[in-house]
Amino acid sequence: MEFINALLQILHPQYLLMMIAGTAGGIMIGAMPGLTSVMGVTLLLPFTYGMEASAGMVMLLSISFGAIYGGSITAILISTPGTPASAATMIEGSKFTARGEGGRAIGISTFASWIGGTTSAIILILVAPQLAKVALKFGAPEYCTLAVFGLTVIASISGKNVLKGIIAGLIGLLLSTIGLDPITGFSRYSFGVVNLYSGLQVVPLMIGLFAISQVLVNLKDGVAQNQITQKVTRVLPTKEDLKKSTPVSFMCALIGTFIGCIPAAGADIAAFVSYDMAKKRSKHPEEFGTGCVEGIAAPEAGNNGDTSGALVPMLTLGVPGDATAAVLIGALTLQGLQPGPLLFTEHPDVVNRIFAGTLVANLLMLILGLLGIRLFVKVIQIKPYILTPIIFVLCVMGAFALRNNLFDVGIMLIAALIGYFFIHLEIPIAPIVLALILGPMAESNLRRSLLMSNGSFSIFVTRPISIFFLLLAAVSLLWPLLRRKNAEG
Amino acid sequence: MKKLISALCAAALCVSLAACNTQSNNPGSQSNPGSQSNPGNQSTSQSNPQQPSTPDFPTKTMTIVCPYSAGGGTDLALRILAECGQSTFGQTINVENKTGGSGSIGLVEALNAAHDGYTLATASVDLITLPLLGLAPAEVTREAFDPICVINGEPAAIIVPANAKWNTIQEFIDDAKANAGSIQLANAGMGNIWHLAAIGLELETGASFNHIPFEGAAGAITACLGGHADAVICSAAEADANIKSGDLKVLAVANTERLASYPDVPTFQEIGVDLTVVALRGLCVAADTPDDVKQALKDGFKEVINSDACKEKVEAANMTYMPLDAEETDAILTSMSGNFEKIIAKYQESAA
Amino acid sequence: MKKLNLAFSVLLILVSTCLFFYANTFKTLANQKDIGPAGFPKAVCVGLILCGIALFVTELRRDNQEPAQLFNRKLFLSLAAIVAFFFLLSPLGFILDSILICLIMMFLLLNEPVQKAWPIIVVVSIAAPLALYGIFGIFLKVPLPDGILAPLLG
Repeated sequence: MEFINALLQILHPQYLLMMIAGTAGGIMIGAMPGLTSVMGVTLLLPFTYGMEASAGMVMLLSISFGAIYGGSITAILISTPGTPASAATMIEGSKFTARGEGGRAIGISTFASWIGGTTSAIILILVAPQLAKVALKFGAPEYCTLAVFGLTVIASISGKNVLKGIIAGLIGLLLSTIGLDPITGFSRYSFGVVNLYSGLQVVPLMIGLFAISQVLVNLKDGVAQNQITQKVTRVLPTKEDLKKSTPVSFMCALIGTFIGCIPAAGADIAAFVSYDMAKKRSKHPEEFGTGCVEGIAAPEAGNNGDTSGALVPMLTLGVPGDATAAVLIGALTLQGLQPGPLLFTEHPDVVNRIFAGTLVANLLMLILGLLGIRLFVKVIQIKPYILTPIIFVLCVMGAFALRNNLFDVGIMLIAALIGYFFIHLEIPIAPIVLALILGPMAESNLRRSLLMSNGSFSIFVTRPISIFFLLLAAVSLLWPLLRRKNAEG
Repeated sequence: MKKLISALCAAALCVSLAACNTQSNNPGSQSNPGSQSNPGNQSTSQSNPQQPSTPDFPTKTMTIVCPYSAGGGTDLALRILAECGQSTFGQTINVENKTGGSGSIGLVEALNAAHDGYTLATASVDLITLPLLGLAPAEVTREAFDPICVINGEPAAIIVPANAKWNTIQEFIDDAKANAGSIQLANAGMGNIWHLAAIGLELETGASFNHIPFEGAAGAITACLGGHADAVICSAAEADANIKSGDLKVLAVANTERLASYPDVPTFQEIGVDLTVVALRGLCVAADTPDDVKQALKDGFKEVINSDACKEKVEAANMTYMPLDAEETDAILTSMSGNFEKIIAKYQESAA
Repeated sequence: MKKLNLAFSVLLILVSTCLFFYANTFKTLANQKDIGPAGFPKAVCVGLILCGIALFVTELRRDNQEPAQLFNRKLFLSLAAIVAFFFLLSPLGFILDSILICLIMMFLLLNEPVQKAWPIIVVVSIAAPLALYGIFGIFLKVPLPDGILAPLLG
């Protein structure tokens, strides 16, 4: 069978070495605060020009899988999400580290990421064209209601004070309107600053709010000299941890794959929705927020599931499932290959090698991740007065490298100040990031839908998928009440 | 011991990536499966390039500033120019992506660098449209830049689903005129060149569409594929995968002559509609760069765009090969300028 | 904390009101049948005003806890250093500027006696920015600002 052939070819040194290098590079890039998987793929794209098409593609895939996983490492160990997709992992992960169990958390995250990536790779291989058909049914109203549903997740990530979480979410929504209006192209709240036309970039804002604000806190209070030592007794997760996390991982892998198929919905949305779903179906929802196993497995499986899911529209329709896929399309095009329906019929060998590559890349990520746990944990045991400034400089570089623009560094620093105040005000920061990502999707698609329907809101309730997400959003909001009723009744 | 192993792994990683880097930077060892190039072909176009008239230029690395993100059409075109230009100029040419401001940040950054010819800007219709739309800072004007060349030009096209009720562009236009505002025409964003082309079509024919803006051509094409929009206006190249697979069909292109890749598709001019809107991709440089440096750039890149290697790379990437030297680029920008002024005036008169 | 929360809620209400009215100045296209560029921002502003009032009321009812200590001398020094760092990034360049900020931050964070620690501080402050520049500025070609060192770095 051709697929088995492709699988065997992939295991040859020329591909395998590239994939190992790509995965390792991707993990490192993802771990660095501010460097996202998109940037990793973009920075390393020129290296693939000299390679044969499938070799270049599988290397870029390894980088993107590694990077999405790598973001969780810093999210867990130093409470700094390496990529926006890891912001949900940070909620639980940081609590593990505070207990000295950072290594255990990384182990769970690695396994969950592997399950997420492999499940979605298998789905990709088996039913990519069919999934693409479903994804095509998503028009503006569906995107809008999906985003609205995503925004209801804010309630679960607000921690104890939901009012403050809502305030944070609304602030995020307002911040997301800065820039050129996506529908009319006119400026909103940009006050003539050219650098604001594209809006506030999520990555510098996120690093500023999460990481640099923490740096400010450390600078003010000094860092505790007796750090919590991380005990790493074993690298593989325990049987109990695996038993608890695996079912959740599968469920969230499916969620992530599906969200990945939808063009323009990315790994960050997949991570947050997965976290929320896991919390809702858990028998011990109160554990979420204190450091629970499912809370780490869910977003990690979700965001890795998204990466292969994003390949579905890319390979079948030639349309990017997320920003990373857009760069991959460019890589294929430059090699003279055209992603789209004809790729399967004209270059089945390339497609099969890409499929095989996704499976192998995920396995490599698992191996390298587990091998690296002790190394990662050692790194954060470096004395805080040395580590903190290095993190600061890394963040500055990450914020700059996004658009090669010093303005973004400035945004990061201003966000740091705001984050510092919010820490003292006990306002949660994760809802700001989520709203910043989902706000534009909700608003632009709301208005696009109204343009399509000539101003009628009925378009949202006459299309089945749109109704589905509206119901999901309603259930999501009413869930706490429903749950209490169930418990009492 | 563990630290030694990890250090060795890191070193091995760096070495292998560096090895690939040098491989891809060496034009002689390019392996491009999509094109027909063989080493013999490549060396004839690269042998003994005419030395630029200024022997001192260039003496160090050159940079092209790309105002759009990596992987997109503009980025691809510039990377092809950079790769082919490296052998002609004998220096490394890097492409830096500085995105934002609807493309104006890339232009501003190029102007901020020294005007010594080592930093090149992207020549596109943005040079005309951004100042007219009021999206560019004061220093970014058409006159601030001197064009060097154009390598690729994609004309606007009206694309509809394969099973749409219109089979010719005339039917499409007649329908739009008869039922004003009923046809949903997806575009890549308000103020974007494709939207402006659609307004141009309205001006020329008296038709009227319901413009639905999306974020980029990919979103617009997907909407059309999924049946959420009746038609999309963008370049045929951007929808090529779906046209070739039979899901979409092109009704017309806004070019002076038929496209080689779509010989059966009429141009608007053939049916009497004077609409020519082409998204150009090329290079330009700050206007007050020293004249001899500018001439060296123009001569050098003229050779680059006319080389076979360059043509093959462009066509292999499924883009329309359109080589224009400095004078031709200047001429085409000037000719488009009047048209865009009309179109943008109409667009802005509906702004409140 | 209570005073801070009260002040914040008042600030929130004031700023949201201003932004609400500013949204009326947004240019829009006539004949568009959607809610317009101002619709969404205004709705969010209204939400923020309501939440601000809710926050104010709930905070009033709470018992007074110890006051928050927001600033101290170390923080002011750090903020000044960071602001200087930002404005010096272009002129001094990434490497030099980062070396300086690392030195300053490490000394500010130090709890041990200086004599023991300063060799490590100096070494790491110089090595880390250089390593980062090497990996990202040179290897991955990120155009980090060179500043004064431009002639050296080329």
